[in-house]
Amino acid sequence: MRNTWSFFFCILLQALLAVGTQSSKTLVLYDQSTEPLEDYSVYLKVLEEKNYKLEYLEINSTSTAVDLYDKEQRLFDNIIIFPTKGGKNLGRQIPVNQLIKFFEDEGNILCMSSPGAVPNTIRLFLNELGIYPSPKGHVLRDYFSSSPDELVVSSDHLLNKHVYNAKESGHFVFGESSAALLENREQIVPILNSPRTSFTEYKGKGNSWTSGSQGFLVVGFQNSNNARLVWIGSSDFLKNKNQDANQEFATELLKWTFKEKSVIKSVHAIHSHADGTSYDEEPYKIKDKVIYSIGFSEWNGERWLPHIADDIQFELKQVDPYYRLTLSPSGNDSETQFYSTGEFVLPDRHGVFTFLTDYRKIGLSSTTDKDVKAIRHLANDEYPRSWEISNSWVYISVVCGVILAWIFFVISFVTTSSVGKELETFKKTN
Amino acid sequence: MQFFKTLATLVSCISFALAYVAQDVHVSFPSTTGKTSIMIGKIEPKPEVVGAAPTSVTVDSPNEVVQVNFAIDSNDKPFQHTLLVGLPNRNLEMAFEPEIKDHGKLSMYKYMIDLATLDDALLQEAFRSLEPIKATLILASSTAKPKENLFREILQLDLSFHLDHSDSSLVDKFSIKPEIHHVFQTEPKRVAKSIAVIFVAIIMITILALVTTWLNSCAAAFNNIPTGTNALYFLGFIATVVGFEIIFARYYLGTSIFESLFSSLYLGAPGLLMSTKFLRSFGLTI
Repeated sequence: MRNTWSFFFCILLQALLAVGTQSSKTLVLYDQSTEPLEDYSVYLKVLEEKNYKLEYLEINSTSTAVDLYDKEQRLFDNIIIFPTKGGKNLGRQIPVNQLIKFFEDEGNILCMSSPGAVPNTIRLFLNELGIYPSPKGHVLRDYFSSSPDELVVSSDHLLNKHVYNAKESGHFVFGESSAALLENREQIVPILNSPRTSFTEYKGKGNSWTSGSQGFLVVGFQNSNNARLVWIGSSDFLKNKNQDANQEFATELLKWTFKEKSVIKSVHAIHSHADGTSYDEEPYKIKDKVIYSIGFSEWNGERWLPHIADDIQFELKQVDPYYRLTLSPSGNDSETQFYSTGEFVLPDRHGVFTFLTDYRKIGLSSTTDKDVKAIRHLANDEYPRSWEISNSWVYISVVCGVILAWIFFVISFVTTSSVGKELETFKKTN
Repeated sequence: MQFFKTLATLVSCISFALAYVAQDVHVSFPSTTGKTSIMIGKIEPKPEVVGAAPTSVTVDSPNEVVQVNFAIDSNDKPFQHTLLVGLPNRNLEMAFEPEIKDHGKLSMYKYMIDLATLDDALLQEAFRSLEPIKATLILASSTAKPKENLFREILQLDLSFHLDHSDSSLVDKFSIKPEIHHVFQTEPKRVAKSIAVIFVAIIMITILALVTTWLNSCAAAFNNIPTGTNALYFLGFIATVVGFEIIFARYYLGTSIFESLFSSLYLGAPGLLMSTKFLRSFGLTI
């Protein structure tokens, strides 16, 4: 008995310790011959200080396949892939389908490439997501840049405030960079586009891949499981030597990639009759007045804060929406901002309806909150009675009049005797 | 001091001479007969008049082709020669490449902007924002200094044809959507209450007139009121008639059919007995 209790407490203690020291396991894949890891030490140190457990793995011709899974258990939360040459080495260690599975299973990925190092594994993986980085050798040029040796991009080209909202105008140093073309997919998060005057060049040929602002230097992708991927078109962007120009943007970019920011959750989604009666107490019927409310919180890296927005919409739908209402703020607490539809009347159509709030914004994690409820038709005795309808007053008054007249007639008929009465006759006299 | 001024002027003249200049820039409309070409003239890296508005062109058809032509010194061809067409403020631009033909010392550049090939998202946004589509010319090379390269907005296309621009999903799939409010079936029309009350009054007056007529014509004289035992049967008979009317009225007001049948049974049995007795004994005097 004592052994059993000791075993139980040991398990409990281990569980508590595990929760207390929970850290993001991050796999760092690098090619020392292409980009020495020491060049990125600043940001790697930042991650380690934030309790990220980094596991480094060099990619070379002798390396073998990496196990991203133990049976069905994902072993890493994040993967960072630095530029590598020799695409076969990376492909052997992590095949494309492994990366796709990892990403589908809510693992986050940060990858970089450069004009000289675009491994096939990364390119094919990005192509699956609708991101098409320029192939090997295609370099982004900008003849209007003040610094001809390296690509410098203004912060005016930032495209998503949820990833990074620059407080002051500045410039980011990209060195030699690739650029990507993007599909028109709703999961893609364009983060930084190239200058209007830029273009990609390949072996003396201009506009070889992108031209103007339709090329992208930093691109994000957030899948339906809210896993995030960021691709950076330059190996120089995160290098220590460029940290003066890039540090703030890079730090925010890492935060976004590893879900330390712009993470939304919806809470306390409730609907009820307008007077507060719940559905369980009184199921809905057509034309009932109801009210719907929901709360939203945003993770800022340390704690949940109220998420303020004016574009959250609620839908009441069967196949198509019967209502689509923009929610209004209705109150808040320290963590949550609540929104409400206000009173609205349920449709005059019975059936099974979905109370849905599907909040998706580019750069924010998506939340879906739905509740399926039946709305019944009116029972026989719930329709308006005839006396409430003015048309029927004529018929009702006729019926009442006939009844009263009939009773009067019966009473008068039986109490009025015709026996002994003789009709007065008049004889005609000539 | 004079020497430096002269040197500075000389340097600026040399740099101007090296700068890319598009000569005889003009716009034509090969797909539209009768529409006259527009001459823009010379385009330099720096505008001759600061703040001058670019040439505006009205486009009347979604299938119109706008052709931009200009000439450049053959010995000074730029490596980058792109015409950006779109809405730069909204990051929606398409790049057009020229068709280049050399004629002696000049190279002729021709850009064909086919409105039908412009991206749907660009056209939708142009109509929604009511902004003209802008054409920006880039002529640049790595050998030239940045300020010698040409980057100028040369044209604005004002779209004057109709296009359905209600689909915002092409630009922002997650933009706020238009609200939907369920449209309820219209309530059935009802007669005005005042009209109904007038008809009810007419009915009541008619019935009162009928009763009054009976009384005045001695059809209802009440001169044969039963007495003794018959009075009892008479009350039973009248109670039965009134009772059935009440049961009918209660059924109409919501009493269930079963309750109404039971009530009829309870009333019917003694009512039949009393009424029969009454009519048999008193009927001869009626």
